[in-house]
Amino acid sequence: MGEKRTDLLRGTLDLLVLKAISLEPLHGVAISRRITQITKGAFQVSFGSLFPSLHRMEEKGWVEAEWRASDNNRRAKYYRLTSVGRTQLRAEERQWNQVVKIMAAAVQSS
Amino acid sequence: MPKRILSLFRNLFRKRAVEQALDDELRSSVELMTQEKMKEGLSQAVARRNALIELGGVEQVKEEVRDVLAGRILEDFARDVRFGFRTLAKSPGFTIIAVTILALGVGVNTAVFSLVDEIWLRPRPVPHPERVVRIFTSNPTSGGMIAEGESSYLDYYYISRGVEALSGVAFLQRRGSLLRMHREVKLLSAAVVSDNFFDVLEAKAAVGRVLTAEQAGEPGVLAVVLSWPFWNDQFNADPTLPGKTIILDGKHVIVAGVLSRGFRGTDPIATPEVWIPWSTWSELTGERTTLATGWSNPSDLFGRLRLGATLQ
Repeated sequence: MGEKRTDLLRGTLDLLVLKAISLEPLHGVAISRRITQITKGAFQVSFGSLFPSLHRMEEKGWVEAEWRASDNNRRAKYYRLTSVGRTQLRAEERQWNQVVKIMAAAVQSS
Repeated sequence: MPKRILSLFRNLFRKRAVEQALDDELRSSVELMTQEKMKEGLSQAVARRNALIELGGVEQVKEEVRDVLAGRILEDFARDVRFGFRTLAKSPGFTIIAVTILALGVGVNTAVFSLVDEIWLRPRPVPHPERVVRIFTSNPTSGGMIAEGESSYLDYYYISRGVEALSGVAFLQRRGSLLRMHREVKLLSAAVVSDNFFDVLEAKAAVGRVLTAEQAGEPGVLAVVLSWPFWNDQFNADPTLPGKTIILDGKHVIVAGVLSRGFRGTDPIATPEVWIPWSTWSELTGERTTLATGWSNPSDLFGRLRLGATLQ
């Protein structure tokens, strides 16, 4: 477990989680690993943040959960993007890109 | 919308099931991580311990998730309330009718209950109310039916002298009396009562005193007693009022006292403002009573049973 921890804004975490399960359904641990992987180790999501985020998005209908056997035959709860979640992911991506552009422009201007 | 309601119900009523699912999920996560770490070459015990450390405490994680669910319920509730208000605002006609009907319903219930409470549930605010009786008589015009509060002077005359079981009989007539104050004249609802009225009912004064039959009947003395609410509203509950005079029907009349707060005589609905003994009333108006002429208004009769006497 890495010592380096970057605090994530809640919206950023949701975006990362949606992104992590956009290709295939994953269980909680795999989502955490996937986020570490796609951020090249920069973000270590704590489970104390990840599970609340997942349950919040499940309540909102962005993700759906389903129990099934994992790769090594353990039962695990898999989270899958719903169509609402997919729309949300696209919206959040757009918004994020905009924020990045604006921030970059703002930082370079001075 | 249905999904939201479903999830609300799931959270509210299937709390244990939700807890169970969360528990299962966290346990399976620990197992997955343990296996992962065992593949990296750790012993099962160490792997499991590290997995638990990485999870960050099962109870803490559960608590975080519970907060989300609880917050969700509150949010849903707030949204439902907002939705309700918006819907009502959108159809003001329906809202007005619904609110009016509710208000009327609640109001009527409250009013009826106050009345029932006052009339039936609360004992009359006089000492030993169980021995105070109201006397009804029948007369030719009532066609044999008992007429309430329609007794004649003859009824009063004979009942007060002839009924052994009663220690006293009093009468009450509803009249009006003019009060002049600060160049204004106000019509008061007056109870004209027999001189012994306060003796029979054993009424108590809040300030000053009530009039006994002798005091009321003293020749040349004009004295009245006020009701508590009237004294409170008209005279701002002035404690120095008893002993002073007010102008009733053009004459100076002494206020002997104010009746205790709850005293409403025998009619709980319409409390008279001023209580005028018959002797004073006669002086004020010149109205006299003889057996031949009777009195001009029918009266309500009250009696107090003697100790030991029963209505049978």
